[in-house]
Amino acid sequence: MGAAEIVNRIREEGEKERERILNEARERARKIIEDARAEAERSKRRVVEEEERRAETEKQRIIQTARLEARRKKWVAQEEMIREVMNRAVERIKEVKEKGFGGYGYDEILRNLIRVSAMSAGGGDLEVVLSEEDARLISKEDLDEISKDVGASLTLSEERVKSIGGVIVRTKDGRIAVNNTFEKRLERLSDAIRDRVAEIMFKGGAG
Amino acid sequence: MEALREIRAAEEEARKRIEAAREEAERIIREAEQEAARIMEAAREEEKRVAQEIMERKREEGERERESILKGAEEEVKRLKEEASSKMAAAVDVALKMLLGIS
Repeated sequence: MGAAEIVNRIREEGEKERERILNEARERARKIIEDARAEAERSKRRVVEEEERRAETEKQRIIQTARLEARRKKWVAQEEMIREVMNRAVERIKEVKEKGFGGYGYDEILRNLIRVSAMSAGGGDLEVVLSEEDARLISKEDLDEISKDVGASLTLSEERVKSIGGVIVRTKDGRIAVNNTFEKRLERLSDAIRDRVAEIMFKGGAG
Repeated sequence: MEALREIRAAEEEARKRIEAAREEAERIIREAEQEAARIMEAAREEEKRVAQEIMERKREEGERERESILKGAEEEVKRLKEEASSKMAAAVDVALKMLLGIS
């Protein structure tokens, strides 16, 4: 092999090595960029999926809050109307005292309350405590008649109760007291009255 | 001797060309890595933008639904009040009946 031939071969091999190095680098560079693009795409898909879930949760939170608010508005409106009914009922007591109610005079209503209270107190010697105004409507004869009906001995107490109406019946020793003043009845029957009123007004129940 | 010199010169030239190729290869890789970093950075920016768009879109959907629910509730309350008002007198009578102890 001559020197010229050796020189040519050295050049050729050098050129081949140069090409190999550059081709390898270009291929690696292409792969780096391709991988980056693929990773960017995967990452974007992950973020989109995750954000869709997060945003959907946020949307549902807004909707759920609105539903609660809607229920609250309805509940507040119902409560207002129930309160109005209760207030009107209490206001009507004054009218009932003058005109009666449901075909009954107020004195009859009061006598009935005394009768029921006396039975609840369990009979025996009982005192009837009324407001100043209501005391004028009940006579000794009324109490005697009720006493006979319920098997008790009722007397009108000298004590007067400050109340819009109704009665307190208690044993002489004060151990048992049945408070049927309208204030107490309203307090005690509040839930039952509210249920019944709600049924009539919002569920179409008959009066 | 001349031939040997030519061979050594060719070897030196080849070595230099290979060395230059290696430097060029490093530059190519470096630039590719920089480009990859730019791609990832752009992707992160794009992700932020898309995420914000998704959240805004869903919030708007939620708000529209919210308005519709509340509007519906207002209409229901109005209807409820109208219906209840017509039954108010009967309800007061029943409440009064219970209060007075009339069965």
